[in-house]
Amino acid sequence: MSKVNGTKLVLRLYVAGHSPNSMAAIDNLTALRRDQLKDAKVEVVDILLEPERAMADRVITAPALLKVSPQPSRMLLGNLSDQSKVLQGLGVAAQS
Amino acid sequence: MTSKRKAKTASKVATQCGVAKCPTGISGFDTITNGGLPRDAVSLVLGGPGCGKTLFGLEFLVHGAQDYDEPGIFVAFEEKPEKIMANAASFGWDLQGLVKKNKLYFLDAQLSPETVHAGEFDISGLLGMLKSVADKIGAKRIVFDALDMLLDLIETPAAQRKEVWRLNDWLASSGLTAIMSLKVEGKPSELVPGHYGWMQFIPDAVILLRQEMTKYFSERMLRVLKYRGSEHINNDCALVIADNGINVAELRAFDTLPKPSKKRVGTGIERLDHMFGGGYMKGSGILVTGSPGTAKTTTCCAFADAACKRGEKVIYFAFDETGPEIIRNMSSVNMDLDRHVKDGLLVFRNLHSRFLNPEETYVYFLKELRDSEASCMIVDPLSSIGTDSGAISLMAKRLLYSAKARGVTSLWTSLIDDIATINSNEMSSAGVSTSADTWIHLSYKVIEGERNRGLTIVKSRGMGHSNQVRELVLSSKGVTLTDVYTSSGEVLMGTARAQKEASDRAKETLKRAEFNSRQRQLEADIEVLKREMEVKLEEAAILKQAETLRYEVEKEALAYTLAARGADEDDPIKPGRKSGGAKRRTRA
Repeated sequence: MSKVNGTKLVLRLYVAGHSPNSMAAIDNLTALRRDQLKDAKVEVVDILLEPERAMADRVITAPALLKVSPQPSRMLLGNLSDQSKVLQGLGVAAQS
Repeated sequence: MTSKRKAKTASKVATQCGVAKCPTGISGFDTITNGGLPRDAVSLVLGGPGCGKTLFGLEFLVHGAQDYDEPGIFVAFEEKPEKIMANAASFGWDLQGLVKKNKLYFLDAQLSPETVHAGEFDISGLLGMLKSVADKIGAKRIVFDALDMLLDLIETPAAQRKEVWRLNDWLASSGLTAIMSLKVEGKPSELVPGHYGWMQFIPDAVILLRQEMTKYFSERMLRVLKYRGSEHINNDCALVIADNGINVAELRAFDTLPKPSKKRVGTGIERLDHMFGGGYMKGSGILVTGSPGTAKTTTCCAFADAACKRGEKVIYFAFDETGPEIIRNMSSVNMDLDRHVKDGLLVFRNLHSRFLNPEETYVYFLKELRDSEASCMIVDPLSSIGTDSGAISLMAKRLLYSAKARGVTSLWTSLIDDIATINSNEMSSAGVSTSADTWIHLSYKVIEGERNRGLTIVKSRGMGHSNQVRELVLSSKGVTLTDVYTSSGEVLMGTARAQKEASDRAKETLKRAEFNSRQRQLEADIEVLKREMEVKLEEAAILKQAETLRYEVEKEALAYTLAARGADEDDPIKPGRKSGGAKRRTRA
């Protein structure tokens, strides 16, 4: 389900410490993984702890979800509260 | 939260009575702001596209890193750092080197257009990154270039303000001096930046950059809209992007000039020196006006030549003629300027005035003047800078002031046909006639089909000067002044003067001849009289001789009579007693 064109979805979630939006993003992504993004590989990176990585990925706002693979990579800004936008952005069709 | 913020702002204002400044190193900007941007505070730079916002921020960081040992961070929201660096390559800054030395850090904060908004977010992550970078390189300065790009991502105005306050609060505690740049929407003359109008109430200083077309020229202007707790110029100041970066036309009302010098500098025209009682005043501004061909350039070159011969450095801004042309033309009046150019004392700068607006010219002049370290400056002619006489006037006054501030003696030429129209036509002298310390007017006088050049000193502050019109004579021997012939209130020059002088000489000769002849006649008369006198004297002598002879004859006759009467022969005969004795003897 969470495969896009047969390739496993690799995601990287950038958060800024324990800011409310970051905490919300973690919650929202966890909820999504329960359903639509079951097989997705997710890494959570705290910008405050690893700023170099965020810079390398040109992440400037948090939270931000980066679709690492499959290509093309895509950046999703925000706390991921809008599920349909997240799935659309990742190229995963929302399950009916 | 709000009250806390207010308290913070208030305390900030309170401590700003004597705001600490952070020098930008941007030419002229630190002068008009009396030291630079507010230190450890936020400044907002507003402007439309192409006004120089990015460059302003970048130069602030470059000078900080290079000149003040204050490393900086450039947060690029709009352009890629590589592109910014490539664009700045022409300014000769070693950006790569500064980056390598950890003096400069570019954060690529460009957002991909592919970015999807999927809920609320904030900039705390950005601030986290910036903190780590700031700590790493010991940053003191930071620039957020095109912050509007970030704000555009945030959907509601309330959320935008929240993020700006978050940024502001973070900066307040970071010890960084910050610039945020923001695009202005709509008309460039509108001061409120489009939909981020509220932004200008947050920072301590707001600087507006704009670009406008005035008649033929595109002009960039800078204005300090607000600067909490600091005096500053709040007029439009010209902003020119030259090969050294941004240049702001500096001039403050509260600027003071150095103590004026009493020294004189030679004009290069010997008799003009006499007319001024020694030469031009050192560090003064001399306006040379006149119609085309009245030898304005020659007058300037004579001064330049004299200055170079004294070993002084001269910068010559030429508009109508190029340096080589001037050099060639001056050789006809026995002036060897080429030698001075080769010695590096005389520097010609040729400008095509039609491509420059007055403010741009001003900035260029100032830069050249500074770089050349010249002690004499010539602007020839001022009247060809641009078409807006008001702007030329403003610019000329500022440049004159700047020259004086550097102790530079400056000569300006301007096209004026008739001195009588100067008051009604003040603009043609570009308004310098009132600011200039000395004003020399060159004119033509047409007499008997001949044009001759006349030189008048219209004014000369603080020095006695001749009120007489002199004739300016250019010859293969050089430039000289001659006295004009004033005859029954008429000023004669050239051939008319020569003729008048010749006719007067003839008259004089005639008079002299007449005198001589009269004198000779008198001498002749005297001679005649002398002869006459001699004759009379001779006559007198003859008469006397005749008388003596008659007496002798008489005496002899008497003696004969006496002898005949038997008188004593030994008795001396005296004419008086002769007859008595004779009488006595007669009685005896």
